[in-house]
Amino acid sequence: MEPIGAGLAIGLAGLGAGLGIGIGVRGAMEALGRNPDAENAIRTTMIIGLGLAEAIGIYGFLIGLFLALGLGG
Amino acid sequence: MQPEVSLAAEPFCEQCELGPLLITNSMVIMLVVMLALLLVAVAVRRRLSSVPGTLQNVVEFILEALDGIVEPALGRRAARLFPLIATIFIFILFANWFSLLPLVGTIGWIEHHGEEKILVPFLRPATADLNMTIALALVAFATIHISGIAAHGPFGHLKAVSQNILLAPVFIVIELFVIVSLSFRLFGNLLAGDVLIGISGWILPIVGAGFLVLEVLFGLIQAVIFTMLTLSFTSVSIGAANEHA
Repeated sequence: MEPIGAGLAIGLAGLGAGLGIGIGVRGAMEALGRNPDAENAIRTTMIIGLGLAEAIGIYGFLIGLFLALGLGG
Repeated sequence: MQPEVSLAAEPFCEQCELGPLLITNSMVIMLVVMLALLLVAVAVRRRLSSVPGTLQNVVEFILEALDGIVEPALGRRAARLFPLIATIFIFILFANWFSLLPLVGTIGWIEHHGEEKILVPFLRPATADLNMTIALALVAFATIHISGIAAHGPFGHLKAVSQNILLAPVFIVIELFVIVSLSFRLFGNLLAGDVLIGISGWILPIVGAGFLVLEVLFGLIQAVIFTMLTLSFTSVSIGAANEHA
């Protein structure tokens, strides 16, 4: 079961993180198109948001790694 | 031989313990980075001039860029918190980048576990060790709440954090989760990079070289994210006091 769990963990977490990052970048692009002068503020906020979204994928990776290495007990 | 993925740092040598403290291979890198940054700082400090040389120029460039971010976020408290936040950024950045040097994680000794042979590296990326990132996250957590308490007093800060008497436990747990999210994000990213480069290097080295270039970028982005999150949480926790000033 562990390999299946590890694959599911990284796959589903990657799906969520990918969706989150896509939506976040889309919002930033739209804001940038509407207001090109605010590029610096938009970029900084977007990077923070992407970091938060990407963290979900990273948690999935860690859990997958724990399972694959047999640390799940 | 096979690539080995290990989550924990290994001891640097057989008998290197400082009292109860075991010197691990990721601590060695942390100490090297700290020492290098200290030496650069002392070297710049000793030859400080109004016409900056090359080294002073680089240091001034980094600090001024950071000041441009910290100053608007923290207002009149910026001068007090700037050294801490700048140190967090510079340390994470150079710890991440130092871990990409060729000798880190690739040379070591071979340990035999029955039939298996496992490579135990001499050096391991400092930020790919959960102990390091939890320590950094605890510093960030303390910064956020101590500056909040300094701005509003203990009860004012507690009120600002918990927002609503009914939801107070939820908000306090959310605040505590900041430690987990900050530390696991940094740890996971750096470990993922380390594992990715390691595995792809075993399979097809040229792919590993490509990931190495990406890791330079990720090292910078993770340092920026950690610093910006610390900064914006601190900014929120002292926020109300700033508006009145």
